[in-house]
Amino acid sequence: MYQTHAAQDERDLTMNSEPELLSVRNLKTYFHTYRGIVKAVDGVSFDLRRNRSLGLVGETGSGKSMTAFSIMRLLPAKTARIEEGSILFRAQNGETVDLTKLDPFGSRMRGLRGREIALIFQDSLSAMNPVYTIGFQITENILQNSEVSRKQARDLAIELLQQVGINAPEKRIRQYPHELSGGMRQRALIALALSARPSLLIADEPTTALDVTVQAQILRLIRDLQRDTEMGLILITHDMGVIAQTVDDVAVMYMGDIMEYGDVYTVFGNPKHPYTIKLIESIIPLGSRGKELQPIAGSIPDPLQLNPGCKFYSRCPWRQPESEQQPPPMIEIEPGHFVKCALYAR
Amino acid sequence: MLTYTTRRSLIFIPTLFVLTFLLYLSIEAGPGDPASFLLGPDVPTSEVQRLRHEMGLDRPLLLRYGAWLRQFAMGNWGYSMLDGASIKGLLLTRIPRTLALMGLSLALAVVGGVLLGVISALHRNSVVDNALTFVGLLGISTPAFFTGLLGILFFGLRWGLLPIGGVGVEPGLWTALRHMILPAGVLGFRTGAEYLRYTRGAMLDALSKDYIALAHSKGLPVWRVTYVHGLRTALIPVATIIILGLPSLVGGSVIVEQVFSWPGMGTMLINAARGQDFPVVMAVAVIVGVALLVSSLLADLMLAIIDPRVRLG
Amino acid sequence: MEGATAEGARITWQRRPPLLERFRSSKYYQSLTWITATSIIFFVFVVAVSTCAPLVAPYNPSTVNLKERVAAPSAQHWLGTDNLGRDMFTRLLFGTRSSLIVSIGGVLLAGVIGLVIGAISGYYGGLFDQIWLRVSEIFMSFPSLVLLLVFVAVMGPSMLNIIVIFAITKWATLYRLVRAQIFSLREEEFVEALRALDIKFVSIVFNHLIPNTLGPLAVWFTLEVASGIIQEAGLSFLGLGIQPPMPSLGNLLSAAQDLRILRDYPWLWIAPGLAVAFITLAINFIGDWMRDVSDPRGTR
Repeated sequence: MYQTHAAQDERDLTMNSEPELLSVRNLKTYFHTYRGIVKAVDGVSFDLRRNRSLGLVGETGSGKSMTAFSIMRLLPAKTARIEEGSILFRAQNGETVDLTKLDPFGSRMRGLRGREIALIFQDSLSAMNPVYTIGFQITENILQNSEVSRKQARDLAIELLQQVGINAPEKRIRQYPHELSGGMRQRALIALALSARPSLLIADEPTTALDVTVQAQILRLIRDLQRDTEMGLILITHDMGVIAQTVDDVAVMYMGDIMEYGDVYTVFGNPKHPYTIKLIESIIPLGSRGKELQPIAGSIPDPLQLNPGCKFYSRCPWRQPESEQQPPPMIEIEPGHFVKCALYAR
Repeated sequence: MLTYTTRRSLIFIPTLFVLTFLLYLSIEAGPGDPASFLLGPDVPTSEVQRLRHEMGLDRPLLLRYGAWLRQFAMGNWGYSMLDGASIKGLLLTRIPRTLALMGLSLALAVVGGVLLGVISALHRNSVVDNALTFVGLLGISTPAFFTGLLGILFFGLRWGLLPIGGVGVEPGLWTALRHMILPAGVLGFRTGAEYLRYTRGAMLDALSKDYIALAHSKGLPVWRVTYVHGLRTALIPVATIIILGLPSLVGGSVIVEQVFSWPGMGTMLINAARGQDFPVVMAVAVIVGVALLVSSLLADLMLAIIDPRVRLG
Repeated sequence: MEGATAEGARITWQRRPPLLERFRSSKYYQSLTWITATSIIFFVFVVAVSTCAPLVAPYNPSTVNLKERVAAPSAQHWLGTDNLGRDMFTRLLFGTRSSLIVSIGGVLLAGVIGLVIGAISGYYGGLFDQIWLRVSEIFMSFPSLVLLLVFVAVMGPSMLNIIVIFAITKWATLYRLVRAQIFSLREEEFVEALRALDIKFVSIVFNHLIPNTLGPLAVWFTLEVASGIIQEAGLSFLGLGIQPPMPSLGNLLSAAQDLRILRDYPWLWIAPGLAVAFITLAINFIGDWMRDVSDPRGTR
């Protein structure tokens, strides 16, 4: 437990001390494949409050999407398992429930999905069923998760589409996913996620499949909607620029572990973990012609053969010998700023 | 939708012409001359000559072909080279029998194959699934006539449960059905095995898609996700395969008819092929060709109805 | 950040592991099951034995011995004799041989035709492409058996004719496959670079098209051979395929059309029937395995 209330109040005095919306502790999700065990999520912990947003940033394979799917309990049943850890979620009725203890397809978890926790997928075209209209797919969510009539659901859908910035919504709800442009489809997907008024929204790479101009619009839309509804938001992306302009807190993930965690200004302004530092260095700011590319040396190690120590060990320029075998401790180097690195243990 | 149909018809027409042209060449390539086949055996040579001249069969190839087509279109389908019987008359009695057999087989295959394919997919890698997959593979590997022979041996001869061939002398629905069970069952098993494999594959494919995860994330009950989202989408390729597989169903029914001495178009075609009776072969081939083109046109329409992505294509 | 090891800008290659190790870690080995392996062994065995039929068979397939007509299976005649006293086991061996020759030969020929026309069609496009596309549509949509019957009626049945007819009826699917492959290759940038360098079409075909198409091509090959065996069996069964006295699996089976033989002398026809079934089953297993390797969608 490393997010202290004292640190929180120190940062933002105007915020009421609401209990956390989501509290993930030491989550471990392992995939049992015939070639070995892949530790997709290996000891992830973070908190999220209402009206706050958290960014999970990392390369492909860092486990960020799997964390989201673990929270939603949408893992492939045969191969994946939550081995350890807890996911405490504060439901809208006031109860706090540990999601890892629920049957993923039981009525309790299903009741939470859609109604209280919603997920926005990365590829809007493949995420929507091609044979049903947008309207059908949105109203389906509404009807499943609230007690309204069909007509009311339809009106609500139209209103939502309007809210997300889709023009002529009455026409759109009768259209099929492939008839919309990528940007509009993503907006529709957002409308769908919000249609049952969830308190927690998880967006998995919502802008990766879109071009840059549309990206900015979608991000602004998500942020505005979050503020309006006071939802908690988890934004998953590999794009650090997106994180920097959208979220309040950030967790930098690598190979299933959180390397650095804190509010976004602190982490990006004053990065402490070698991985974070290297990541930031490798981004080329506009107008810096002539500078060499600074990739991070080495490549992602084989997930089936990880050493027990620090996951970044093989590529770290400042690696400490003891970190090869011993997992480094999570140190709070400044209030609210956490780094998992042996460098700061002295 | 109207534009969609019209566009497909444009491909339909030239294909039909090419088909019939190829077949006409076969007729010309064989012995005898086309005019005599149009008139039958009991007609004097002078008549034949007159028809030849009338039709323009002494003119260039394309015109000859055109003349024959015109005759065909007017309803004159010619006479058999072997026994002089009117082809049209023969076909009118035989086509319904073949349709009945094919219809029953198709019904059995669709119901059995698709149903079992869904079950197989939903219980993936279980004992049931493995057994069904094996049965499916066995079904498509065993030639239909072998299964037919085995069927005759056991059900007909050894156990005396069902008639072994023909269509029965007594009229009536029950007699016809009794005679149809074995051949339709054999053909249905063979075709159903294919449908089983395809449905299983299509279902597994559909269930691995992102929109299934989305459906789950809405908190929908599992049955709804599986059937409303999964099966519904999986049925699209399955329906396509079924329609595209109709040609080979025709082929299969030809052999099954032969094995069970079912007096349909198939046995007619085989006898004609054996005796090199070209007018009959051509007539049957044209009928089959036209029927298939029409059915694929209908299939395209049906596909446009059930798959919205196709409509704007 | 991913990929080859890069220290500074130097890329180091690791030594290629020996062939056995590469095979073991390849996708082919990973998706191999007991059934598939058995099928491969069985099929290779069948091909080997039937190819060497003249050397291996105990008797001559056409030796008539009227004193031992329709004898039941015994030590001298493992599968008994037929109505002319010929040894059935030998005839089965020779029958398998002719069936395999016709199927594999026909499919090979179809493959060459489909590959050549498909490559030219896809690469150069234009009227050639449009014409052949329509032609292929006809061959693909028409019921194969009816088509086969039409051609047999026209050309007359014989082993060579059947091979040719198979080639005519089977080339179309490969044509479409190759054409599609060439289309996608054409879009690839390196092909544009090659064209700019004026590299000839033939070279592009051999060095790029074929390696990329090998997967689907192998799958097509196995499945068409399987269907060919069944089609030959069907045609010969009807008397329209390989003509007696040369045995083929199909015409051995046609004896069963006589009800007496069907009931009383099962050894005459059950063995060839099972042979067709098992060989086709084995080929289908092999084809499925190849499809799993070249089309990894994890739906099995």
